[in-house]
Amino acid sequence: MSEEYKRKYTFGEDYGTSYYKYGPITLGEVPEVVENRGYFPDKSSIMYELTGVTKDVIVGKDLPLYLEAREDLSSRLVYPMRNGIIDINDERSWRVIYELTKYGLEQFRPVERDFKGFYVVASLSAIAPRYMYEKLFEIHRRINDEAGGRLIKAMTIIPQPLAVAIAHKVPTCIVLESGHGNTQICPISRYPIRNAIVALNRGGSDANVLTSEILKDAGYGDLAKEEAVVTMVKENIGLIPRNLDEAMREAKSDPERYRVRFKIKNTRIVIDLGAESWTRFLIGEYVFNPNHEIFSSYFKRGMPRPKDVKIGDVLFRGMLDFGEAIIEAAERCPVELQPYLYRHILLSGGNFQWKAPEEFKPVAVDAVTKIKLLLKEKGVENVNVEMTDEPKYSVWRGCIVYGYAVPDKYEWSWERMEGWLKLCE
Amino acid sequence: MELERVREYFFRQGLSEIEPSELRHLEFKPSLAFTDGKNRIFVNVFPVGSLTSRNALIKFMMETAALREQCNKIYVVIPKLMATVIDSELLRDMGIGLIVYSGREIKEVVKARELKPKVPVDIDVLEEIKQISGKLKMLEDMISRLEFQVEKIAEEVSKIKVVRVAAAAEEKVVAEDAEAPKVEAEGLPSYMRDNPWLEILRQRGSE
Repeated sequence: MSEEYKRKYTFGEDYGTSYYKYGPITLGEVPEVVENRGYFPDKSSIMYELTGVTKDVIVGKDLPLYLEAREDLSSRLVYPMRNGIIDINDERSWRVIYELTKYGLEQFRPVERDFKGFYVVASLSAIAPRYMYEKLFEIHRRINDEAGGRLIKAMTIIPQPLAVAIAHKVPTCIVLESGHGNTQICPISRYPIRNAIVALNRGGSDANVLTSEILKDAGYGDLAKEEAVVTMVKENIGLIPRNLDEAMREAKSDPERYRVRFKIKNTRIVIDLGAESWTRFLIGEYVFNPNHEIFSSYFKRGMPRPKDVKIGDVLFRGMLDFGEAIIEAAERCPVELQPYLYRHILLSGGNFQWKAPEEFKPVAVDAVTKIKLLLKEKGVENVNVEMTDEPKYSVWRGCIVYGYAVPDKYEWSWERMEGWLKLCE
Repeated sequence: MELERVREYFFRQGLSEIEPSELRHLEFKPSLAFTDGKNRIFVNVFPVGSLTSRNALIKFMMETAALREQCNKIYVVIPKLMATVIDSELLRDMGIGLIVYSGREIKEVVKARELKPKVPVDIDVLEEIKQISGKLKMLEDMISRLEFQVEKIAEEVSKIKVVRVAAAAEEKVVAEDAEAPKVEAEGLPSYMRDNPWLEILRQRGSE
């Protein structure tokens, strides 16, 4: 098939931890976005009868309309990609992925006569095990069969960091993708260097846990239980310190200057950390480096320490700081390549979106500066760290470029983990 | 016999009879149908001979009720003898008029109420709809043919573009060479323009 055809019918799918971003190349710059979740309604409830829902799983934009009692939500609302990996036997999560994928493809099913199926490029976490690839192929094959065999012409799956590098037009780089549940550090040199990938069992959710502890200590124990409130507080008050000790000293010596009062929009709730406002710096530091002794007091009081866990064949490190993790990934690559890798370090994902207010400039920094500082501490200087533009969409964009450019004849190979798997001729 | 008398009764009121062919689409047909030029008035006459059948009256009333949706007014006509077994209140509720006859006498006992026909079926309108459907079908076919032709033209145009770029390359005109990538970038999103990955990825499989 020609690039002319692919210019119309390439389809990107980014299975992110919180959102599913999808859509054809013709959408241009911005994909469709829905939450990566599915709701399993209680079939025995009267509401189920009343609303006339016939599906076992509800996905997509209308999902909130079907939500029932709050206490039920944790068991009925499934976020399949929360930590980037779905267990092979987790049928509910795979069911959600099937429904979401079908929802996305059906939404954009073209009616043109020349349409002979999409070239679908899906993107998974870099540490996704092989069975996830197999499952995702199987799901697409099933959807295509159910649609009469002409919805998907070919599909492929690429790791998210590769998609990020493609979207940012950088062929040699290190991509740090930090989402809700984990962080992947992936060196790329025209291909993802799979055996150099470092995975961390730490992401935005860990900063939420710490924020929740800070709220409890400040007397907001009731709010500390609500995940959405905690996330909002973290995003609005959290700061990354240039140096944690200095930042704490500075904030404690001038508490009024760093005092934070945060009002939750459209409510009467105001959070005032008062004299404890110095704890704002802990939130940012914890994401980048959880090894400062001050965090031990939280661990001792029962806050879970990010643990090393093995999922599939991948070891997710809990306490490795981002600087060390980048160096470890780079040093698994050939020495000659390392300087080129340090030349472009791309930060992607919601966990790098931190404010650095001008008035706190001497003590508070942005994510780019923090990474540079962490690397400098370990003797790596002259690095170029960049934040990705539109981090939310960069994986989808990378998928679109990949699907458009990779020739149709390049067939899928399990050795290379690349190429097109043909679903219809 | 009674039909003739009923017909006369309505003629005297200035109504004209509707041709049976205009009612052929109806599942149940009234005994008589009239029009004042704008509205349709149906009349259902209970056949005297049916008096012996037990369910005849029920059937007759049900058919009458079904016709309510097709006309502006409807009457039932029954012999005076039967009027005693009919509940006029029920007919009033339903908007159905009642006419009784006995010998030469014909009397409108319950006035028919103005009804709102569900579908104002008019045979001319039906015919017109038929013609419009035919024309729509023709238009659909025409659009499909046009779409096909436009696609073919688009293909031809893209071929011409490729030829133009190739010709420019052959002539080795530097200025034109510099413009060649722009042809490709045309209409592509920003993240694709000047993206070195495009060339890298195009080489996949041939490295």
